[in-house]
Amino acid sequence: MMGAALAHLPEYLGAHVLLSLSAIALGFAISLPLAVAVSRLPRLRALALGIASVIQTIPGLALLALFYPLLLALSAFTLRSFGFGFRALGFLPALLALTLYSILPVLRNTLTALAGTDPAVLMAARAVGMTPRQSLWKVELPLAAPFVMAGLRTASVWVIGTATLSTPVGQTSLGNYIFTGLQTENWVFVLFGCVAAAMLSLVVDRLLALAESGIATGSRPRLGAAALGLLVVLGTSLAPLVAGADRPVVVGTKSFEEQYVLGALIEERLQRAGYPSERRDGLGSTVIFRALRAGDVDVYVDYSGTLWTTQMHRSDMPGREVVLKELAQWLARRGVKDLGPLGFENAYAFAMRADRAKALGVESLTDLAAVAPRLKIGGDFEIFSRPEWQAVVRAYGLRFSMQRQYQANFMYRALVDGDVDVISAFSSDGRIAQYGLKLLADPRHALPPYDAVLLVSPRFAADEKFLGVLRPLVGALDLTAMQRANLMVDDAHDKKTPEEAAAWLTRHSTH
Amino acid sequence: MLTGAMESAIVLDEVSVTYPGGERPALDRVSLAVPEGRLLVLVGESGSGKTTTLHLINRLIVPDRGRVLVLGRDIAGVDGVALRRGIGFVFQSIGLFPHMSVAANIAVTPSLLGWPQDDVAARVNELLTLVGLAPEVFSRRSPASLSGGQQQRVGLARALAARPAIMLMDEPFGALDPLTRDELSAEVRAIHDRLGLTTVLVTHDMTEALLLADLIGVMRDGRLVQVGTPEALLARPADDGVRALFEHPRRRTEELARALHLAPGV
Repeated sequence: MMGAALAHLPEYLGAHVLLSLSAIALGFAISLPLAVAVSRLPRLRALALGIASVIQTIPGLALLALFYPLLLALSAFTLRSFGFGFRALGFLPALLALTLYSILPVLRNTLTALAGTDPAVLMAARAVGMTPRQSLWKVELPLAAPFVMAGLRTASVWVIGTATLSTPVGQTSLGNYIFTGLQTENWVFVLFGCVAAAMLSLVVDRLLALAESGIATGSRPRLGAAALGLLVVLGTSLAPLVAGADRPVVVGTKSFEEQYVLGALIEERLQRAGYPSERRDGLGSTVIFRALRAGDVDVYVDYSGTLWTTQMHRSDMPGREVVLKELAQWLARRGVKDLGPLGFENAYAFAMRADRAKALGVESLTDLAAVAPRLKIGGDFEIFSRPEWQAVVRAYGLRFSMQRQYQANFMYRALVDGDVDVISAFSSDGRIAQYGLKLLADPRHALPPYDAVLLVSPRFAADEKFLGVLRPLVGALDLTAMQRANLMVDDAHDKKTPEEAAAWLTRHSTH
Repeated sequence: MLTGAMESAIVLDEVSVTYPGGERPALDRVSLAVPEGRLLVLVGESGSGKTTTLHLINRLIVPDRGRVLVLGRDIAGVDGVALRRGIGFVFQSIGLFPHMSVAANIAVTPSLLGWPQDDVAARVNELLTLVGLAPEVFSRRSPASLSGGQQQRVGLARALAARPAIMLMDEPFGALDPLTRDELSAEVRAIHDRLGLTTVLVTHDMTEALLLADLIGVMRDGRLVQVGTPEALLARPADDGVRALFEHPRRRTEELARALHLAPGV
């Protein structure tokens, strides 16, 4: 486990440092001139501080998430108006969000320091014949420098910590350990990610503290040592990034185990065929499809029913074959290549503990509706806001005494422990068999079929060589194999990494 | 009289200043002439307008009405920054730049004026010697490591650095202990004479005023009540207020003499 974590370190650390450093540098380049510009204008000063403080109160994850749709719209606009677009996922949204985050500490410290300049010194600066600009550069800013550095230190620690949250918007960072680890219950990964980010914060903080004291005491050796230390951190962490610069194929995954396994499976095939690849892990359902259309993600696995309801906005259920056919046509019109179903379904299904279902006499959703007002239901972060849920509620008139949301692992735990009575499970989930859960029948066909389908971005949609590499996966994975692979990653006792599960799948797939 | 035939280095002509939000003018139609080479001491209570008068001369404050002439020129049309580089300024809170060495503090104005490096360095040494601080000991020290008296000596050197013809001093000895104060005020008078400066010095210490001044100006409520030599003001005070002001040091001296006389063993 530790070895697997270490193998990713150069890539994750490099990306993390590059992102944090860029955000800190950009934030500094904005906040210091801004502070100087507004320091003598009380109203603007209050306004700038107010805005920066409000930004600080937005949760980091939300701020990062907000930049994706914003940039997507902007990219669509520039593409229409000026003929060029840009990647709305990954580095850019993370950079902008973290930059905003880093502004407040430097802005506030600089303004406080400038406002607190000894009036006697200011008077002396005027009296010896300095212009306001000379007073600022020769006296006020040098005196404020230690406070500015202290602000920079705070900003750096914030940014390095918050940068771990940039994983869900598709930017590789040390957060990859944490998010992947959380989804696969790999606590070694989670801990490794936390410790790595904390160590990086600590090292940078100590070096900036050294620089701060160097500036405050005018000690050149200290400043030199701090600069040297920062260069070493930068050099060692960025070196792996400089090595390979070709734009790789981007493999996307949503935020649950099966997707990580499939991501690893796809990536392994691509790399064997000589395509350099990188991952965007843990993306939301809607984000990942938009990213594919925009070319920020090149290949990923989605589910027919998900696209049918959330993207095509269909509520009719014409049957599995028709759904697959119409979906492929709909995707083709949008430039996305649907390579076809992989061979298994991962349907939304409602599951109960077998003993509980028996005691209540529940076999189907119709039975469930009768007792639902006394029961508690648990769902993942998406289900209650998805059209499928609306459809089920409408079809069966479901009403529960309580709704709770969980990260997938904890949702199964909650069901087994009796915290909730019903959960929204996934039919390919290995834990259904492991815990002996009862899946409830859907006699009114409120839920669509959920064939796993392999989607390719417009960039490679007509690239036969590329499609040829992935095509063998179509029809190659049956439900039992997928459940086994999923369980391997979930298993608390004999946990495997997604890569190991993918390798097992490759050996045991139908082909 | 000392005035009259002599050239006036500084002239205030019917000058008025009202601060924003102030109810009455801080200065009300003040006229004043300081002859070249003389040391004028302005006295009066706090808020009487002494410091405002001083700040008018190097354009730290711009008057609402009236003219200010420095070395024969109306300074209304002169750039304040250039003017201040040619006028020395010393004040009670000293205001040494804490992030600069003693030498760098003294070198500020010559450097702003673009003097060659060597000239600046030579000037710094010359000034440190003039104010009684050994250059090899003090030039690299930081202001924070100096005593109050030493700091004000550096402040004095900084004000003199660009060879100004005029010195403005706002309670320069106010924060010093009595011994240092006497020593430094004697040196200021000596430097004033040696360099042929024209000096305006503000104080509320009447003894200091009497000991230092060629001319004394008495201010009250934004007006200049009387100007003249110490002897003239002692002999012919303009009103009871001025008389009381000068009575004070004399009475203190007499009390002191009596006290010392009565003390056993003296």
